[in-house]
Amino acid sequence: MSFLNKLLDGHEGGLKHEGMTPMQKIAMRFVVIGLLYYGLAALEGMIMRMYEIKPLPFIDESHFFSIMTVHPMVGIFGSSYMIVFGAFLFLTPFLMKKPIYSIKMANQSWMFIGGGTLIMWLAGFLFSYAPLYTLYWPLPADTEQFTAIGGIVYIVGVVGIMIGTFLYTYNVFKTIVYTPPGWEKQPAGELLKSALGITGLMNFFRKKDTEHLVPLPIAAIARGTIDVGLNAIVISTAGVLILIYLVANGLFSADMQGTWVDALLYKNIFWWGLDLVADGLVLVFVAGTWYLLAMMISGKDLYMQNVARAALFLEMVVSWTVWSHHLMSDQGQSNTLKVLSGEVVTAFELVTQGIAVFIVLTTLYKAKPIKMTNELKFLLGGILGFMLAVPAGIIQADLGMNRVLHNTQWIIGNHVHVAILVGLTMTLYSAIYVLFPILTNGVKLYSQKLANAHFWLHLVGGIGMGAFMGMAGIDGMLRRTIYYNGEYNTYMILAGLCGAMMLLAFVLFLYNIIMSIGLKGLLGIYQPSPMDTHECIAEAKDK
Amino acid sequence: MADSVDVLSTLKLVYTIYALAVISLIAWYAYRITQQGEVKPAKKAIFWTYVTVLITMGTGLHFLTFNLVPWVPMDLDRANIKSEKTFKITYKDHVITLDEKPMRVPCNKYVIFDAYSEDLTYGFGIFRQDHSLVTQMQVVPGNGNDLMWKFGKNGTYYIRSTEYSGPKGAQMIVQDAVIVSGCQEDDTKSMKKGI
Amino acid sequence: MKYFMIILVLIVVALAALFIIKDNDLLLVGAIITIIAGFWIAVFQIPKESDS
Repeated sequence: MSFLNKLLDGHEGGLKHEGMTPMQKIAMRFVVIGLLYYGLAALEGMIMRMYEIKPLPFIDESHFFSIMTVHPMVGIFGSSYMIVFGAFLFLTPFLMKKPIYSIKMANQSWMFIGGGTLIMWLAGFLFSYAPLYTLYWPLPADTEQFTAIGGIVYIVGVVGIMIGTFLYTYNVFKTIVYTPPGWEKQPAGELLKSALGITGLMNFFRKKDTEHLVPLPIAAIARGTIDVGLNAIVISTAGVLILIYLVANGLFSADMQGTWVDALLYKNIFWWGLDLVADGLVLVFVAGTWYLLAMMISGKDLYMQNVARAALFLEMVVSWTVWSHHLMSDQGQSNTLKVLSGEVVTAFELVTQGIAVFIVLTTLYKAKPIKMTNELKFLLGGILGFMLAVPAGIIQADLGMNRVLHNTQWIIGNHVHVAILVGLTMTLYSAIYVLFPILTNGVKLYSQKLANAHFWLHLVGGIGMGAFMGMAGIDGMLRRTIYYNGEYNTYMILAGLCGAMMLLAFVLFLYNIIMSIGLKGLLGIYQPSPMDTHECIAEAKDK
Repeated sequence: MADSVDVLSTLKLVYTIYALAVISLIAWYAYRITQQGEVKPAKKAIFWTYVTVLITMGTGLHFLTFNLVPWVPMDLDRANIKSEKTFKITYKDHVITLDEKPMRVPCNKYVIFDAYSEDLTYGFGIFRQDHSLVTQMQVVPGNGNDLMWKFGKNGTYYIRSTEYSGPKGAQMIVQDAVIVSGCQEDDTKSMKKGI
Repeated sequence: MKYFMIILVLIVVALAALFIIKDNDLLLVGAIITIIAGFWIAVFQIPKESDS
């Protein structure tokens, strides 16, 4: 079979999209767009890596910072949110053994998030809007450095992402609790309590334990989704606030600059919201995904399942109260908040994540010997990523260390990029490898050699990039800054090479996936499915 | 007295050892998990010991730095410590203005850097000539931003905004802004001739 | 659709809080607790809605 035929039709016939259920299609729609946005974020990252070695002549400073502004937004919302939401909108009904509440709403979710990300990205590309994603007040409403129209386009994009996020949140909870037409009445309230961990909490005070109505991964999805919703409220609020100022200030020249909003207070609320994603959603969702993957790979029950449930609940509560670790160098922030929220509560993330690592490794070990499949090696890579990145985070969340590490490349390298690229992304790749045959009705992977190359290039590139950025940070290199005199060139060249390895890894992965399912199959994912989900479930039940 | 060079080189050493250890651990685990062999039931005592170690390490780090890193107790108690001198620094329109330039700091005396922003959020960072960071704080508009510090070595330092304040703020640097003298020891990474 | 209505109210509340609170830890923590509690209430409205 020629290359062209394989590219169009896929490996061994590729993906037959006509036989896919609506849920398979929806999950694939999310994942494919999420992967494309990952590619965009990786390209942006590589441009910035090159710029940090030597500023590129065709990109000016303001555009460089607009790339830096959209880069985490594309990576977090366009890619991670999309892949996670797609997988969870598929897994929630799959694990609850009932149809999803609303297919229409699920489709709207990916359209809003995907479209919103594109609009937000255009604000950077076309208008060089660049207040960075932390949006420290009053920078995002500064119409001297940025055009009001650029800011408005950006916020419209962000609002789109948040609408998609609220729809996802509603759909997940409604799927857990609703009664499908013609089914026996489901105990909605009890299901919700079980999913959120209230049942487990009450069991501590009862003589006789009440049974958990939802499986453990659903508990993780539900608790992480609470953080997703809370974060969306905060980001939407910030968006509305910025919009008010941009419209009044930028378009109608009303003098609203000044101190109507306290910059430190805004910073507190904004970081409180962002940490629901960075510390809550990531750690809760990742732990839940690890548990599910460990059970699927080992074929065994999870070791210490009750502790795992309790740790997930603890992590959710911890994520509501850790935000002050971002304000340790803010002298106006109270010492009490710095010590309690910033240091002590944050230290418990080491505990909750450490518990998850232990439980997953023990569960897998009990099933040995296990074949080193793609999903297993990516899962181990993901675990390693968090084993490296979480302690790095605990170290910087210390009053002594933060004074010399805050806003340096250590934070963004050793902690953020290792957590996201090695920890989170490798976990997501593991999930993708597990779900791939389920979502595609058994399409065979085009090349195992390419999958191996993807793994090693991503792992070594990810850890290497984080390490070299971290070393530059220890030597004083700031994040969000341009160095014109080659002060940190050795580290930056090494980090650039590692970044290039990761970009190459992604290209190989994408090529492998496209050659496996074929372009026809890929485009077919976006055509409506002829099947009805309710009938699929009924058929599965009859079998 | 420990300074940021000591603290950061310890961090580099400890974290590198830790990183190599966990990478080796996972590599060993990945190899073992594919091998045949007897699996003993996991003891719960090991799990709970491990959890105790995690709690101790997580919180213990803060006790350790409180006792070993001199700027932690000083920062927490700065409202009650009398300073020898206060330096006023103003930020406006992406320009850092010093009331006194250079800021001449006496050795081993408490001084306060009092920064005020009239528009955006900036950062105040003191750097050595080799670009390593001595200390920093955020400069938030409408709020007090006071950083207490004590220098134990002679040297000439530059200051740079450590917080992003838009593209215009990427190169906010004031050379030779802080000069410390009167110490017995020199900061070898930050000596500058002719100052 | 009570869920979405409560979200809307919470966004307005958070917006109002940003203008009202000035450098006060207690009010800040209060606002955060209100948003957490409000969102839980919103989520707990979901099972009460009739399935259409």
